[in-house]
Amino acid sequence: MTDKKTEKLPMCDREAARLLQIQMQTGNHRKAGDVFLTALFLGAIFVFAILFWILPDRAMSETENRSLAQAPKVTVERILDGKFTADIAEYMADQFPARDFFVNLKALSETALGRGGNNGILFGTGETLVTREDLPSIDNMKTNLSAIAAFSAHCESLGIPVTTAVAGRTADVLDHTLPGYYGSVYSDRLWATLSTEAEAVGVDLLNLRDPLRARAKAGEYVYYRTDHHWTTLGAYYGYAAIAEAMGDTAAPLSDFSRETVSESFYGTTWSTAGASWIDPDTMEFFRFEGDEAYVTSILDAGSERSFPGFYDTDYLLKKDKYSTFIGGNSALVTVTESGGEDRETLLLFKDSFAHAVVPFLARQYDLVIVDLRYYKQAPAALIDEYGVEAVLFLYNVDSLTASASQRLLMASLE
Amino acid sequence: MVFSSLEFLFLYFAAVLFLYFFTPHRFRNITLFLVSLIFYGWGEPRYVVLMFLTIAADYAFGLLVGKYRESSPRRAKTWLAVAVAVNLGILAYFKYFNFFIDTFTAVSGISVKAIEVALPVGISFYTFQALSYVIDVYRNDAPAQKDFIAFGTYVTLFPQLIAGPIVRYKDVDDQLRGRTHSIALFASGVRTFMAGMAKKVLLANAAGEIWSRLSSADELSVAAAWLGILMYTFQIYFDFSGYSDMAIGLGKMMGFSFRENFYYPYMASSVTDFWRRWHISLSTWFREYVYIPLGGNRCGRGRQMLNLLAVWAFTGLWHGASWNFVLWGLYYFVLLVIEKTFLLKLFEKLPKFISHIYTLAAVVFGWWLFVFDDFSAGLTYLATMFGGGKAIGFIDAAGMLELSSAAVLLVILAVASTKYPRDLFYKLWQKTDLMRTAATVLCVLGFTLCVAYLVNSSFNPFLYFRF
Repeated sequence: MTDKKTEKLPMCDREAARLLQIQMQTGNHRKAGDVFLTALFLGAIFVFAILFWILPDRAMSETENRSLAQAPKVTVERILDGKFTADIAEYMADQFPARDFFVNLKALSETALGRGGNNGILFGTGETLVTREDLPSIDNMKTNLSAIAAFSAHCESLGIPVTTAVAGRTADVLDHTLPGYYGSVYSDRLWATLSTEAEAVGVDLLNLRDPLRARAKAGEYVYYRTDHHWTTLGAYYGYAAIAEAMGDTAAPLSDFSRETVSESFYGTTWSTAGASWIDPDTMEFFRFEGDEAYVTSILDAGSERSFPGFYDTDYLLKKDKYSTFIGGNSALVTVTESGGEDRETLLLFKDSFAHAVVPFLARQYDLVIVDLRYYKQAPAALIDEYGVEAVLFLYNVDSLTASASQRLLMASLE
Repeated sequence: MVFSSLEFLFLYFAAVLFLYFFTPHRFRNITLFLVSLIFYGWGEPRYVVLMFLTIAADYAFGLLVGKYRESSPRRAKTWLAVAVAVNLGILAYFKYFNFFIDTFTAVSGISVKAIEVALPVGISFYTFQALSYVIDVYRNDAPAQKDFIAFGTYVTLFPQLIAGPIVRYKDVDDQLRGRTHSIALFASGVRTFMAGMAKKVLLANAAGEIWSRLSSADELSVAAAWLGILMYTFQIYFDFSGYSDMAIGLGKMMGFSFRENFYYPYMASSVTDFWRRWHISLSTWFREYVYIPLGGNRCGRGRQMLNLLAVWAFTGLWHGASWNFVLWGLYYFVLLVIEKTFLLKLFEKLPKFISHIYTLAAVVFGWWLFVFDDFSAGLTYLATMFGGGKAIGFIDAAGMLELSSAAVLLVILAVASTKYPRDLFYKLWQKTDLMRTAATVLCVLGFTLCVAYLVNSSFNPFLYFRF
């Protein structure tokens, strides 16, 4: 520190002054260049500002598959507590002109920088998009497994057999698309923990990761590249393993005629990653004779509806094509054969991975399908209500760790 | 509202430019004053009242000090003391009250109820600016400002309101009375602003995202822990210097000339040198308004040490109401004293890279002190960097993934921290007119990329916002 009161400008200010002088020096194109830059800057700011106000607001982003923020309400109270300005920020980001272009540009730039992914999605080989989550919550998993164990014990005391099947995430099954050193390191750890914890509470776990991973390594198209779900083929292999575990004979692949229903399926990981240059996935239905005689009924209070077969084909025209299977996420759904003989009833606790498996299971069972993330009543009551004769838990490992949604199973027993 | 946001650029600033340049010259201060109040009230509208009271009080103090400066120095001094007490009192209440209470409770065991108060944005910055005004008037470095609007504009001027640079009143006194605007200056302002925005949005945010992920990871390898603290080192520099550049650029667009706030601090050859290059406006403030008034180095060695100690304890505390900031300030006090005593002389005899590496290591360690306000978390992280703590080996799969995906970014960050790109740029600029075009192309590209990152960003914090 200098003590001189009469200070000389520090180095940086002298330099800044020199550089400013260089910029202001007369050159041939000086004036034109400065006018041009000024015009560009003002143009960009005003054009986007005006476009933002005059372009109509979008309610949904099809590409990102979510609803977009709308113009915030103006009230004195909201302005005073700062809520209004916070909403403005979100509103602008969501309704910004050419939003999709900018989202895509960011993904491109991240790729160019060798970041290996964008927004938490890793870019695997073969245009595979993989959600990265190294160390998911083990606490949730423990809670869920104990709840499943307690409910299973209850069922078995009633003489109802229970099967618990867990499928892998894209990171578990398509691990060979990730860098070699990373590969299945965290996947293996998670599954080792899963099997230890399941054993600790006495849940006999059917591992669907290993068989599907083997199929994937052999080059079969069992998981989507742009979505976090398995393909219909993957779901079939999942079904085959489940049927075997339940002591049934799985219908052979040759029973089905494979129908390609979309070649332009862009899933959730594609939406998050913003990587529009990646090719879409193909979606299939595995049709079989008489599959139109089934009825899928959604029983959620206030939005009851039903449709023939297993597919709500309206979704094929939208972005969210996976919701074609039994009409997407609902709290309570039944699938029955209309006018068919009296069949065994299977109570299925599930997440969306099970949706693509439903057509296979429905050939043998009448299904009562419960999603505990949305279903808020006592699940045990369903056993009597529907005369349940078998129970299947079918989850992706992600659902077991993401939240403790199975806790409700315990509550209903008390 | 931060400059690196869509609502600032396309809502607020678009309106400000329109209003400002359509206002006749002599009313431009009014326009600036009003829009600056809106800027200030954007996040915390209630504190506009506090801001207004601060301005009114300091306006009055300035007039009183100015009035008695010649006729009655004793009265001038009294009013100066009142001004200092009021300004620091407000700062102490809003920023440090709960900190004092917590510390008192911890030491005495007597529990005192904390108050519920949100920190007014930028209070540390504008309080220092207001103080600089009254002191400058007292010292006869500037005349008292009779024009309330001009004074209000000085305190609230939105480019530097919430995060500096801390403008000393005497530096802008004449600019408040009249400024010249030109296309050349405006274009230069656009270039400075764009450079700052790119630093903030493209570099600081990328580095910060990696740091936030690594610092909160449940397990960490040694290499990843080092990558993490390096990323924070880059984040805080690009964040803050980018913000200062944006402020300077915005100022230029409206005819102001603010002084530089950063001068490639990571190229410093000693810690002493680092502090001549880092947050220059703050160290200048402390030197001018604390160190020198206390006697500086003119009252003997012992007194100088005491003065330095006071300055660095306050510098630390200025950064936040938490003991780790005080420790961080004292840490620099110790290093600076060591350097003054013998280290700088020793460095003159050694190759330059040694002092450079020492400085970087000292600064990175300093950021470790700075970033953890939870001591035990900080110690665990430090241990992890040396194989203890949460460390799971030298490098693991997650660490490899972080390192390989950050490799290019790391090179860019390192190069961008040096002076070389700028020097090269201006060398070429003087040789060929093409560089003016190149600068424009860079601005357009940078702007487009920044907007892309802002539109699709979940991570856009501003570190100095809370000071």
